[in-house]
Amino acid sequence: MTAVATPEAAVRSIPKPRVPLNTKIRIGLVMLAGFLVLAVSRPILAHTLWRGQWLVYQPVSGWDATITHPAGISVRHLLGTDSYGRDVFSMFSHSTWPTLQVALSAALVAGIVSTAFAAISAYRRGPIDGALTHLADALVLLPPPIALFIIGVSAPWLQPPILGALYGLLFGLSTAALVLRSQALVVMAKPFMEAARTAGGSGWWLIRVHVLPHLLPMTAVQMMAAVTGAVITFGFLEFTGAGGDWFGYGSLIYTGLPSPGLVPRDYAWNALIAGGLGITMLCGAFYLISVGLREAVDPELLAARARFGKTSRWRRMGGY
Amino acid sequence: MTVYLLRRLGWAVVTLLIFVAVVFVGLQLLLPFDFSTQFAFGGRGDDYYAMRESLGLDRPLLARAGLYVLGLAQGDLGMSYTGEPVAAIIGRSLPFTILVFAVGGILAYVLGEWLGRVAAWHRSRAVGSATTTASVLLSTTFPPLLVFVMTYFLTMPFYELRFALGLPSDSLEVWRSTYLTQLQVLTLVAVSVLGAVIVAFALRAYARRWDLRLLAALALPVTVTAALIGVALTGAGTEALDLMFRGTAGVNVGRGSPFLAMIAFIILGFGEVAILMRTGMAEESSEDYVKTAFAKGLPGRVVRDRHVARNAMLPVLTRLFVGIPYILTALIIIEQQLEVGGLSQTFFEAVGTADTPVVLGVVVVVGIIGLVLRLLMDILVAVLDPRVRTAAMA
Repeated sequence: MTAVATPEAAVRSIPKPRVPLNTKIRIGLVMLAGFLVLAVSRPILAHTLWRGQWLVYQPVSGWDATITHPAGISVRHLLGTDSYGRDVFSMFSHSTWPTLQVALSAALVAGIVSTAFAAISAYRRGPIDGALTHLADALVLLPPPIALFIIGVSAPWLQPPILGALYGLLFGLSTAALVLRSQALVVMAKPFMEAARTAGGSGWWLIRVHVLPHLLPMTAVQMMAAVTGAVITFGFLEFTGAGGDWFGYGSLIYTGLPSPGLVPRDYAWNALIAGGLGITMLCGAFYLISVGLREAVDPELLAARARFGKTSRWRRMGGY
Repeated sequence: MTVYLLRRLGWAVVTLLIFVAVVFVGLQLLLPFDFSTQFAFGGRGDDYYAMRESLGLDRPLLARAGLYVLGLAQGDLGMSYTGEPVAAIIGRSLPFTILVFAVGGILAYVLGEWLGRVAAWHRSRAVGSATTTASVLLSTTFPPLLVFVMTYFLTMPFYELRFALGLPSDSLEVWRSTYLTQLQVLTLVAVSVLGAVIVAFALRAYARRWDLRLLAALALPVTVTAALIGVALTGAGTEALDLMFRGTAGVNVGRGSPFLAMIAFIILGFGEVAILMRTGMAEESSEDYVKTAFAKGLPGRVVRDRHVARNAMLPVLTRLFVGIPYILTALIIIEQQLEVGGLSQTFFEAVGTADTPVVLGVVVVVGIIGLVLRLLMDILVAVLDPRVRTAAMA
């Protein structure tokens, strides 16, 4: 047996955590990739297939004079047109990018803030932990959708990534922080932490090498939760006109409804369904990745699957 | 136990103080309006500064936050720019929202808990996947779209129902000819339905204990029907029906109906409970006491309902109570879309007119509701589980 002299040598002997890509993560990533492709498809199409037809495919004020509106699905208009004659596919792809920006910035900020909070809180303990926990407890009482609505009204110049980041900050400092803190405390109480301390590991070393890897799955779950809330909140801001003139899925749904007092008064079901499905599928993609990650890294689930296979017993433990 | 309660109460007060300070300072920065800036019409003379001084607006921000907290302790939420106390404005709209929230929340919980319990226990993979997919899809539905779809598809059935029930096409006619207010009628219906649900649960527990399957199956429909008949016998039947199937001048049928708001709230809310319950049940199923229960020969249904579900329920309830401000926000959004009135009308109108004291009041009240319910939940958990008391005091 080789004696381990330094913490660095001890860490080299620890197998690196691996995240196998199970079916759920794969499906979630494929869906997310689909949204990314959708977001970049409009500028590509504008410079290729739609070249010279910008007045027809302009997402906000386009108009196809050759057909009556609203029109159904056709080769020329993949998702049809709305009551104002605009191409719904063009609107759909145009509105994907701002929504994706909100989702990604919310997830990123929530993940970073909540992980830092949990690691500092669990490692330092004492007054620092007390102060941070009280702040998180207080912020849990302030729902980010309400805060974002007020921010959207008072600062309409804020762009989608900033709004997403603000949502992530509020969520990351409240609900996500409390969940991750309890997870970090569990890790800190493990015997290997005491062994690492005895071996001379410094504070930052312990956090980076031992605490953070154990927090990652739960961080991923919290990031997904932040995305769902941020996307729906952003859609609501657009839908109610509280904020800047962004064009995301909320605006797409709004344009599908007839404007009171204006002609035409028909419902654009294709725009309504595209916007509604866009929000649900984007949230669903992040949710699938979250569930898949939990399943992939949860030691109890992995052990149960190895022992019993994908049986009812494994499913009862949370595998599905 | 007394020490634990006092300690928990003390921390709740500290949390509330931090919350109010953060919200007060944040709102003053985001909506930097006050009575003098709103009504001085650009004046900057001596009168303007005298007004600011008399209203205490010349003091530092933190000093004003302190004064606000002192006022809050006495139930004073400040004065709206309309000249009316904020507490009175919120007091008018809050009961409506709270009633819809309480009844809708309880029904969403009951539905989600049952679905999660059954889905976790079912051996079929298809049932589990279908439940999870449906729960995820419904809980991530965009609330305004859900409200639109509901009102679109329920317009004709609501019209027909109003006609069949003998209600006039316009709700105004009903409320012109009655001395009852909408809040009174809603309270009557809510209390009756909640009472019926509680009685039904007691009856179901009794029926299960003595294996009376017919009684268990009929308990809920019979008690709810009896409660609704009771409402009709009080003489408020027409008003209660109108509240459910509202019609505005024959155009927007369903708009303004707290009943529809409740249904939308249940649709959006039960999915998360089902997912949490399913996960909780799954985690509990691998515990040793479950194996022991099966080894003793207990039927699967008994193990599920009396052992696993009871243990899985507590974390679900805790998480839900922590998220109450979020859940209340979802209801406020639904109310706004359905034009029901209540807290949503107060909040969105106040944001639109930059009436900072009312906006602040609504946010603080939502936070206080969340804090009080969380405190009650913590106390309940400590009473039920001695391990929590011991851990908290350690």
